[in-house]
Amino acid sequence: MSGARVRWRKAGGLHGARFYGYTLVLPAIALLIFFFFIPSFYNVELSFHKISLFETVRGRGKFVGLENFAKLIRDPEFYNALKNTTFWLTGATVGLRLLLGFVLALLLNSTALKRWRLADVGRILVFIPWGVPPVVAVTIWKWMLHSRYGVVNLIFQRLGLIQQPIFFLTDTSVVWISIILVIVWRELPFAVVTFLAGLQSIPQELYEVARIDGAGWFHELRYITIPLLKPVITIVAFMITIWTFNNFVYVWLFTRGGPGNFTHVLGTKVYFESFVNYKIGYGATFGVIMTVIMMVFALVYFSTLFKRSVNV
Amino acid sequence: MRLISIKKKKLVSIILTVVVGLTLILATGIAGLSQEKVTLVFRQNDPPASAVGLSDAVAEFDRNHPNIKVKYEVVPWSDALNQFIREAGVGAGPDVLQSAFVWTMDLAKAGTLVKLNPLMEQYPLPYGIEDFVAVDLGMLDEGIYGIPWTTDTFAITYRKDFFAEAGIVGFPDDSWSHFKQVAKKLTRDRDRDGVIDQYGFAFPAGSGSTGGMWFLVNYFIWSHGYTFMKQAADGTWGLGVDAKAIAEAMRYFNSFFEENISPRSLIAIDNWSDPELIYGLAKGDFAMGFMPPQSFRAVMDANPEAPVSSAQVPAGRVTRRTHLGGRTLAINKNTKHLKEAWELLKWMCSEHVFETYYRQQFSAQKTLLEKITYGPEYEGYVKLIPQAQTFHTYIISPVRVQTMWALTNREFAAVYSGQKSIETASEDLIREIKEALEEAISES
Repeated sequence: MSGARVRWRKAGGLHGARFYGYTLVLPAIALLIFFFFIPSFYNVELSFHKISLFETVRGRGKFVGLENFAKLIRDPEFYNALKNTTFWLTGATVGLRLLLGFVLALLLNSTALKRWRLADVGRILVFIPWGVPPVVAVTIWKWMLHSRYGVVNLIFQRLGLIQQPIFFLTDTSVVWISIILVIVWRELPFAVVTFLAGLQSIPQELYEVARIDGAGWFHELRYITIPLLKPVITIVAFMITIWTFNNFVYVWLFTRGGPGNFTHVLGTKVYFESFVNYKIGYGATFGVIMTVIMMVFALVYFSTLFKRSVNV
Repeated sequence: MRLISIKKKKLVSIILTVVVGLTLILATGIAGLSQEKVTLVFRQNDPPASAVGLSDAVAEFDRNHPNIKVKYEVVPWSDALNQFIREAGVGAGPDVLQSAFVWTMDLAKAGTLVKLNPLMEQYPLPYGIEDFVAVDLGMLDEGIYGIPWTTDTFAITYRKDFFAEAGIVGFPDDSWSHFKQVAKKLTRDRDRDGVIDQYGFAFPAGSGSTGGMWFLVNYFIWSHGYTFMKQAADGTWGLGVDAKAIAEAMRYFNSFFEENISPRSLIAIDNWSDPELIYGLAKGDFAMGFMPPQSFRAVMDANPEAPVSSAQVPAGRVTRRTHLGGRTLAINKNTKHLKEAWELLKWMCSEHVFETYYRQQFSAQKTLLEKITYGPEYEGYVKLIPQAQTFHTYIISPVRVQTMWALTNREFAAVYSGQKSIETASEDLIREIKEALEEAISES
């Protein structure tokens, strides 16, 4: 009898706990294979082909090896999109969400707000944007920021802050600020709710002891709140970075990559190359690069996190 | 022996039961199927305001055909092509679909459409295919894959009251520069608060890949004797325009923003039916606009009191030229109800539908075009249609129209937003189209 068969028998065969476990996870694995791995591999396969959207009806186009990747490296628009994705779309919005999310969570968790019975109202107000679908959020903000009909310009003009309207959607000096504003407004509640949950799990005794030792608000924040909230901050930062880096919706709905190609990000470039230029293979190449960047990011991130936890 | 015979009897009775049962199920199914309605999906791409009445036309078809049920779908132009190709690739999609004139040949090449010639022979069109304009745009290897449904062009729309107020007599369509002079004169700060509240000219200047800037650019360069794609006598393809001519067009349209004749908010607008353009002209924020007839109709519906009219686009140094665009109706290769789909297609092209329901659009049939009487406000469109040319040269060229369209809009918007200089953007546009041409030729 072979070793494997012996192990199988020892594990209880078809009635064993191990088999039972595999059976339970099988549907999840099957779903992952069909809806994640197969499309991902198909995307990688497409990136090695020259194929137009029209050709997808009949076949898989022509195999061109690494030609699409070579083209991408020479393409200045790739670097423009990469810069926009890294700096504006991800860096700026993630940084702001972490900072504002932390501040708002502290505020909502504060005893002062609870004392004034404003904690619940505050939470509801903060969470409202999360309930607004992104497409609705962008449409509303586009009208609010409109240079002639928008309420934002109207208020600024009434307050005497500006003489001429600001062209939030078309002026290259402010268009990214407008996009960031919408993303932060819509996505901030996730950071707030997670930080708030983290803050509420910190034992109150720690603060009481600190106060007995003469610690002020700032010392409590520095030596208790932030260190104990660090794991939550780390996970939130990781998750929203990946979600935002791959995001397509906000920029596409807001500017469609314009004016010109000023606000194109990697997500919109995938769409633009695949479904506007019809170059499915080249569009898939952008997708592969995005995946690789995020994989590297995740590896670096987790290895750093692991090292830190080992050192601790 | 007795045991065997009992077993045999049991087996025979089981088989008989199964056979009788299956027969009954099949018979019931067939009877059910014979009574079941054929469901067709009809898809069109215009926003509801530009396609008022189409759903009623579909409802009447349903009433006249008790065995057919038509599901009416609307997919915006910006997504229509991609969505249909994705669906066609997996054996799905609408039975009868609306396509742009410029897409039909590409869709036919991709094998997504039904060749209509056999259907036309078996169930002929009332006035024959010869009665339709621009049939060649839907043809591939002598086969017809789309029936031209509507036709239109873009014209300049304007407020007659503003012209009268400014003392302008006659429309400045003799040259582009005269047109701009008048647009500037019509730009006013009515309440003298330092902010312009009546702009001279509004046009969709966005960088979106399906934006209306493409048409205006083509009208400008065609009128000066240029064209993006040109086929030489030996059959080779090349560009019929250079960076200098593109720069001239960019300089001209950019000056509308630089001189505040057009508001910079238009740089974010792609769609010619955008509420800002429609309501802007209806309300009086703009003195002139640039739009197709269905958008012009929407202006009149938005403010029936507004004294609006249409005029020809300006002439250039060589000629005056607009495009003859329009919609095609085609049948999806994946349809399971070919005869019914053809029946629906014929109905949508019928005189009754255009007279009763689909009044915003001009039919693509010569017979129907001649019968329709247009109000004086449509003067611009009526004058322009005979001078219009289709995008046939672009369609049969190696570069896809959509690629040139997207690149043109992007580079022009890059100039308007100050992202690129006119020199850089014009050279980039020419280089990008040249590269697309070279790539397309090398692939073919």
